[in-house]
Amino acid sequence: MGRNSKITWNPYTPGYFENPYDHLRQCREENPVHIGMQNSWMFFRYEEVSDILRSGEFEVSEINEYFKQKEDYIFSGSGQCPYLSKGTKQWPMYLNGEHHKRVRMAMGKAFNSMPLAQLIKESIEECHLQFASFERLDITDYCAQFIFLVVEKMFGVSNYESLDKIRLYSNLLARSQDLFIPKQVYLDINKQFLWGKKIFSGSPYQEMIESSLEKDDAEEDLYSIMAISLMAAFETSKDNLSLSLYQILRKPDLIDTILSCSTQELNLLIEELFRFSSPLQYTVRINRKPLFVDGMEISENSKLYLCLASANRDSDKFDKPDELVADRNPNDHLSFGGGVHYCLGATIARQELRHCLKPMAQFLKDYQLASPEPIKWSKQIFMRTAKSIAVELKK
Amino acid sequence: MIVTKNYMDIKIWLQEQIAQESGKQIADTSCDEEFENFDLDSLSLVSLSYELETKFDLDIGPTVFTEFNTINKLSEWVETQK
Repeated sequence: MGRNSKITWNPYTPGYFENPYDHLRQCREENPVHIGMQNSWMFFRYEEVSDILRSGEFEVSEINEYFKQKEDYIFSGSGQCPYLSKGTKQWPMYLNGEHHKRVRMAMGKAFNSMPLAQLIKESIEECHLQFASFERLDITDYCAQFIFLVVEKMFGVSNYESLDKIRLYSNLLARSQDLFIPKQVYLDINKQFLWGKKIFSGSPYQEMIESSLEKDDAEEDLYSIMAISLMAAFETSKDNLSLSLYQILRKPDLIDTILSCSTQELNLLIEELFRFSSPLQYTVRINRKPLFVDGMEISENSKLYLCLASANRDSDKFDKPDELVADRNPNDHLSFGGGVHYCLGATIARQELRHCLKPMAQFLKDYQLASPEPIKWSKQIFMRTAKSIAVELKK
Repeated sequence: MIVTKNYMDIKIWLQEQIAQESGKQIADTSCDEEFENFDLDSLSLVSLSYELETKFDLDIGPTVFTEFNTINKLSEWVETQK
C-alpha cells in the first residue's frame, strides 16, 4: 500500500460531513499512510496515531506563524487590523517546549481552582427551567445554553454578552484551526477576535491567569489565553455533549441505563461516548527527523495529520469498533489526543458529563429524535459539529 | 447576488478572479492553462472556491480546482450545475 493506492483522503467526498466513517475506514484499510491534500501526510491506524501522539519526538505546528505568513494576503484591502496571529499566539495546543509548559500550567491552575461540580449542578438546574415543557427542541441549543451558563460562571461573561454572540465568537475561533478556511472566513474570525477583547474585563478567571504569567507578558498574550480558554470550554464542551446526547437518543435504552447505573458504569459509558463520537477528529504533528513508515520515508519537518476519529474506530484495537458498547473496558481511545499535548480540557469534559448525564437523561426521557432527518451537520473537518439536532416530545 | 450560470459569464468572471489572485493581467490569464501554473497557493484556491460557491450558489469544495483544472473546464462544469 502507499502512494499508488486508489483511495486518498478527501473530506469533500460526497456524504463525508454526514458520515465520515465509511471514507475513513476505506482510507485506514486500503491506504493507511499516504500523502494527502496540501502535501501533508495522513495517518489513519490506531497504532501509528497513538505512537506519534505519545512519542516525545514530534512537535505541534505553530498556527500563529501560519497566520503571520498569510496576513498580507488575508487582510489586503480589508481595512481590518490583523489580529489572527496575535490572537492565537498563546494557544497551548500549538506551542512547543517551555512556552507550552508555561501556558499550560497557567491554564491548568486556573481551571483546577474552579468549583466545577457546583457550577455544573447549578447550571443544569437553570437550563432545565428554561427548557421545561418545550414540545420540540434543538439539542444543540439546549447544550449551548447549558454550557453558556457554566461558562458565564467560570469566566464572568454574562454581564457583557448574549449566548448568541458568545456562540458565534466561540465557533469562529474554533474554525480558525480547521482546514480549507477561505480568507473571507478568516476576516470574520478576525472581527470576532477584535470584538472579544472587551468581554473578559473583570473576569476572576482572567485575574487568576494574569497572576500566573510573567510580568512582561503583554496584554494581548493574556487575551489570547482567555480566548482559547473560552473557546475550549464552550465549543468543545458543546460538541462533546451534543454528540453524546445524539448517540443516547439514537439508542433510547441508554437513557434507562444512565438513570439506573452506578458511577463506575457511568464512567465507562462516558469514555465510550468520547470514543464513538470523537468530536476532535484530527490533530497535527511535525516530525523533526525523517520518519520511516510502511517502507516510505517521510522527510523531516513534514506535516502529519493524525486522524483520531479513524484510530478510534480501528478494529485492530477495538472489538466492534462501529458499535457503541456502553460497558467497553478497557477503552484506550484517543479522543483527547495523548502525550504532552493531551487535552487540557479532558478533565472538564469528563466532569461535565459525569454531573450532567443523569439529570439530562431524566429530562430527555420523554423526548425522541424528530423524523425524518433530526440532525444537520456543520461543514467542519477538524471538529465534528452538529448544526442542529431536533427532538420532540414522545406521543 | 446569485447570477445566471452562462458559460461566457462564468469564464470571464473566473478569468478576472484568477488574474486578481495571481497578480496577472486578464489578457495573460489563459483559459487552457492549468491552475497549478498560476502560482496560486492553497489559501488562494480555497478562497476562490468560496467565492465560486457564493457567486453561483453551489455546494462545492476546494478540490474542484483539481478535478476541473483549467478555466475552460471549470466554466463548463459550473454551467452544468443546477
